[in-house]
Amino acid sequence: MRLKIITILVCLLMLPVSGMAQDSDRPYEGVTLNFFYFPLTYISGLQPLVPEFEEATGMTVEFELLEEQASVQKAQLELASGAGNFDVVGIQSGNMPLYAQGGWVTPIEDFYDAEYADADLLAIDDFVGSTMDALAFGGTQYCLPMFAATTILYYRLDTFEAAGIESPPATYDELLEIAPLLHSDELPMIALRGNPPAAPGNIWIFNSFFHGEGASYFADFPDDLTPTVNSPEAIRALTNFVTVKNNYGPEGVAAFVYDDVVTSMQQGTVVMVIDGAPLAGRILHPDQSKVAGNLGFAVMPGGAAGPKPGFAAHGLCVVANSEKQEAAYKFVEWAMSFDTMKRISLESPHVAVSRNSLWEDADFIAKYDYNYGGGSFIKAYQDSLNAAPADHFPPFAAWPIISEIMGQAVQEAEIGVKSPEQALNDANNLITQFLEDEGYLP
Amino acid sequence: MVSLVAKALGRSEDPESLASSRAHLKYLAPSIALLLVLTILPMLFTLYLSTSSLSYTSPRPPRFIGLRNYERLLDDARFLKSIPVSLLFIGAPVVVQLFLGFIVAVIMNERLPYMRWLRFVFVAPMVIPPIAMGLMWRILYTPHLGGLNYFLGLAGIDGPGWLTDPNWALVAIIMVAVWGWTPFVGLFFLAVMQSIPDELYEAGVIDGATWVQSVRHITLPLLRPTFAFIGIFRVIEALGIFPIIYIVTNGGPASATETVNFYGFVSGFNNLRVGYASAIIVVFFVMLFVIVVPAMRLLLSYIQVSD
Repeated sequence: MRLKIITILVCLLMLPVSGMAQDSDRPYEGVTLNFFYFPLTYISGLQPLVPEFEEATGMTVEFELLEEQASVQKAQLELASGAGNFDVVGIQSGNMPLYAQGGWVTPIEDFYDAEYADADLLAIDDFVGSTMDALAFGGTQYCLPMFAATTILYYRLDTFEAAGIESPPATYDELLEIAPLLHSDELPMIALRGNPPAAPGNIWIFNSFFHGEGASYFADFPDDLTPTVNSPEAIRALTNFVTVKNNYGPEGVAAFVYDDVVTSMQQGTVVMVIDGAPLAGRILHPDQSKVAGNLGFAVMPGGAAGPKPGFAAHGLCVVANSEKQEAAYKFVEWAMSFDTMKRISLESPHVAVSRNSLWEDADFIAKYDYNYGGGSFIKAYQDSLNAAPADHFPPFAAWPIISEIMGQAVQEAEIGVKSPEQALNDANNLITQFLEDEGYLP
Repeated sequence: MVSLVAKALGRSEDPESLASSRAHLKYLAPSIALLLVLTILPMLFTLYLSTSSLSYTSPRPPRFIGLRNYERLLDDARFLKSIPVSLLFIGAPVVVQLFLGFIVAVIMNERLPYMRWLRFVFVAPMVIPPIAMGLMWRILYTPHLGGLNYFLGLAGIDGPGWLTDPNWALVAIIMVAVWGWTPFVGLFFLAVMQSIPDELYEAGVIDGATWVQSVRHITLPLLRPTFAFIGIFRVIEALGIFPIIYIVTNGGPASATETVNFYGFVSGFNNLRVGYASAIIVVFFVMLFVIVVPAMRLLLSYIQVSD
């Protein structure tokens, strides 16, 4: 009897010890993290790997993903109201100033020296510099990049060959010069986004025409915020954009969303598109694409100021009012690590990687270096990233509304309700009035 | 329930029924209090916000600015354009729905072969959620995806730019609203038609009335109150067209299909100008009030007549 009692006591004494042993193995047992964004390729590729992270740490990660525009709206309202429903959120670099000024996210650099941080796992110096810069504000690193996006020109090799054109257009003038040779009613030359909503809309493409002509949004950003969107360069950019789309685009192109553009290229119903390089995975999808093996890739054409492809980064941030800062950081650290990023890129169609070492990784190159005789995809991607201006979307908290006003102006010119000049004059007045109301201009 | 509401509104002069109404109100008080908290308080808060400069993109802290947001609205061409668009989306679909709904009901009321299947086809749009409805029509309207212009082309008609021409985009939204809600109107008419005694039609036949004359002189006059009832009901409901606009045109092209509430949504959720968006929504409340209150009164009076 005594032996039994002693045995039970010993077992009882051992219980906390074994529990502690379990705690140190799975230090975040019982912690639930709430993650919010939209199903960007990186996130879709990350989700299947998360059970391994949960198994290793004891943490549970709940994903809430919405459509892109809706997710941006919801995230901003949630963060602004301090609702505290999310611990980790995704961010598009154009919104970085808004998130930073609002104090909505904890600077990620605050975690670098924490006792629980693993500097080797994160390897911060390996991230592509421009993507890191895009997710910093005022010299402080707020978020970490998971996605490095730029725009490239995709073009059908067979149509170019049939028209006797040897290389893709390097300038807008060249584009307009070859257009009559490539365009027909049955096979329009080019599809570009047309709908104005800020996140996935026409401004993503139009800004390349805008910067390509040497236009800028402000007189001298950030010192002089007087808007200059109706400058001669800007009017020339919009005139080019409208001319190319209206004369050589498919029917209804003024209302195209990015999905319409991708589908047009994927199905081969246009000769070329200018859109996100990360969309190559979809455009060349082996089961859906009618142009796989028949596409060339190049840096998009430029104007007087040279080619200015689009640039945007997406990143992950720790929400400022999350009560699980440590766990949230550990999740971000793991999600952004080299191994995780490499697995995502190899096991899903995520090509927009944000680590330098991955761009040089043999497995990565073997998977993504499409080359059908019209130039290497990876080279076009990297050249475009290098040529892309960091201020493709000006780093300005009020950018969402300026983008909205400009998106409307571009579409107004495109559908002919206003001339390019009138549309941009009106947009300039609206932006001026808005900046005065908001206190940015006297 | 309806008589209770009428009594609660103080329509009755009878002291006994007044006392009964008070007793009813006592039981309803918790629900009414909850409704007040959920509807009146947010409205008051919106009114308060509409007098502030609150904007998440501004470097300045929010402050009281009186009626400045409302003054801005008077200069805002996009807002001013959204008012007639709202009125169009309230009025036009309702008129067409009543017309087509009546025709559909007349057809469904006939004893024709395969009518059971035809009825199923007629009412099918009713069960489709607005988001799915919007997606379906957006595909139909997109030239390289949808079949609408293709079929028009087969008939020798050069289809318009449904999503790129500002005028046709308005028609496109109205067509979706008509397609989606005509079955409801038709079913309502059908239910009333089936309650019209056969003797009336038989008397008409004896007097030598043709089918068209029967419809014109018997069915239509008897359906007149129903027309009014459904018309008012649909007007009240018409502003719920928001999801259709969001999916089919997203307010475009160039804000041509933006209603007042849609512009409020863009200002608040896309542009984060909370004070300004609140002012838009307050104006929208006023619009609703001006349209819905007389409509509700008419509706209640019809219900009381039938009660």
